[in-house]
Parts: sequence; structure tokens; C-alpha cells
Amino acid sequence: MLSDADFLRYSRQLMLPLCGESGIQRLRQARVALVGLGGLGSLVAPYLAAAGVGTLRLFDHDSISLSNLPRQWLYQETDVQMPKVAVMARQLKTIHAGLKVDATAARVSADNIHHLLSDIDLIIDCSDNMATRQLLNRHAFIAEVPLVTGAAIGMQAQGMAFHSAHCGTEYNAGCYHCLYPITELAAGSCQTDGVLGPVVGMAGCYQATLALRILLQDPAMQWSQLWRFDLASGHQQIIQITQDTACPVCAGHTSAFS
Amino acid sequence: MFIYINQHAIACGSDDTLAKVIRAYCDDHQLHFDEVAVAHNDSLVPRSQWAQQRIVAEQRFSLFSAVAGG
Repeated sequence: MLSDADFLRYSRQLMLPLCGESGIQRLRQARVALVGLGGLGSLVAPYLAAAGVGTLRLFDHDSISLSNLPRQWLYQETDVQMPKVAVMARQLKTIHAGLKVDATAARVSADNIHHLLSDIDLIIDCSDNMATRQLLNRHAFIAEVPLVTGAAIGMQAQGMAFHSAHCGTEYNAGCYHCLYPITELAAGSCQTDGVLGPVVGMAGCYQATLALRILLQDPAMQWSQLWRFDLASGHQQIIQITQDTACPVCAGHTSAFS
Repeated sequence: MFIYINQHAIACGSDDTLAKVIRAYCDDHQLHFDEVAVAHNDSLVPRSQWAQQRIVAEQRFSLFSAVAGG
């Protein structure tokens, strides 16, 4: 049951046919894991908290640095050198006091992923490296949990969502590894190539939207579609990520990746 | 014959594979061959197909690099 305060608070979401009263209940019961609290995660987390998601499990091993502030503006100058998860948990509670936040200052790895990401309804990849992205993709596929991935560099933003239940040749849909079958990048990090705050923010907003649509069980959800946005030219493209029949993750092949 | 990658006309031989053309394009544009993805008609062409796939005149491809920043 929603209270009068809930009806008031979520009135704009309730108006949407996608949401309604049952949607608010779904969000409240949802348990979401968010890996990485940089430019992407520091936007996605407050959007989900504000929208009424019940439980957020946050992971980041890093501390806030001065170079984070131009794009990770939920962190303040007085937070520099503080653990990101601790500051984010504190901030999220000011947005929504009823939110349950589990904050873990650790790097998600092959050794701990099954423990850290158990009993989760959705994984959101806001990490900053290819190895973690591949690890999360593999785990999400095996655990049959939907995955929302986003990334940004320079003036380029990307976002996409995957679900093992909607993956395969019958759906013409693959996984993250089908798109990028690599475990590291020679270049292409914010540290090496730079990024504008609003560009990574655009990718984060797209991820938050995908996440809410998944949690609200949007029947029009498009899985395995890459959204690319070049904010320098304004050019956007949607690409269907077809399954690579040689993919070691979703096509059942074993390879050096496993 | 010509194909188009990101709207650049590329001269190709009739026996060229997609892999060969993409590698040449990456070399010309200082891109890492291992880190790019390619789409045709807004649909991903899986990397495992590149070595076998013969190109057809006037085909248009999108080529873009992986992004991991967050």
C-alpha cells in the first residue's frame, strides 16, 4: 500500500502507464547492485534512490580525488580522499531516508563476485575498465540477472542492456562479449583520453532510464541494443548486438577467456 | 569496387575479406584493430565472421571503438 505521502512524492512517475501504483511497489522491492561510483555511478545511484528503488548495493574501492569533481558533482570539495561508497551512501540517505544502502569499499573480482552479487534483481555496470565489464557480463549471464552497461570517453557515450533470457540466435541478440571480445583496452579511459562531465552524465542518465524500465518490467524493453551518441556531432545510432556464435559467454563456447 | 566505412569510400578487391578491409582502415586511422566493432545495416557483424565474410560492392559499414570509461 502506498501512503498519501508516497502518492504525492511519486505523483509524476505514477502518471506514467509504465509505472502506476504497482510500479512504485516494484521499485521499492527491487535490489540493485551498482558497480563503480565514478562519473556514471554517481549519477545513476541518486536517480534510482530518488525514484524509489528500495535497496542499492554499492561497490567501489576508490577514494574521491580532486580530478573527480568536475563530473562527479555529488561529491564535494570537503569529501576529497574520503571513500566513494561512504560518501555516496550518506548522500543517498539525504535523498531518500527509507533507502536501504549496502556500501562495500572493495573491487569486484572473480574471487568475490558470486558472494557480493548474490540475491540481486539487476546489475548496473558503471565501472571504468574492460576486465570488470567482462566479469560482470559473464556473471550476469550465468546468474540470469539483467545487466545495464554504460561507458563514456571524450565526446562519446554508449549504453546498453542485456538479459540471458533474451539472448541467442532466436532473438538475434548477443551479450557484451559479442560486442567487445576483449579484456583490456590499449587506450580509451577517462584517465588517458579525457571526458567532459555532461558526456559521461548522458551515458549515466541512459543507464538509469534503462534500469528503471527493466525494474518496471517495460514490455517494450529492447535488449542487446547498443546506443551510441557522439555529443560533438549530435549523431546517434542504435545497433542490434547480434550473437557471435563463437562467443564463450553466451554461445556456450570455451576459450582462453574462460 | 568500393565499400564505405563511416562514409569513407574504400577501394577493395573482389576477394577481400571484411577482416582485411577493417585492418587496413584501422591502420589508416590509427585505430586499434582488436578494439573496434563493426555494424552493417545497424546490426553488429560478429568479429568471428570477419575472416570469412566477403565484401560486396557498395556495402556500408559503421566502425567504432570500444569505450570503457566511467
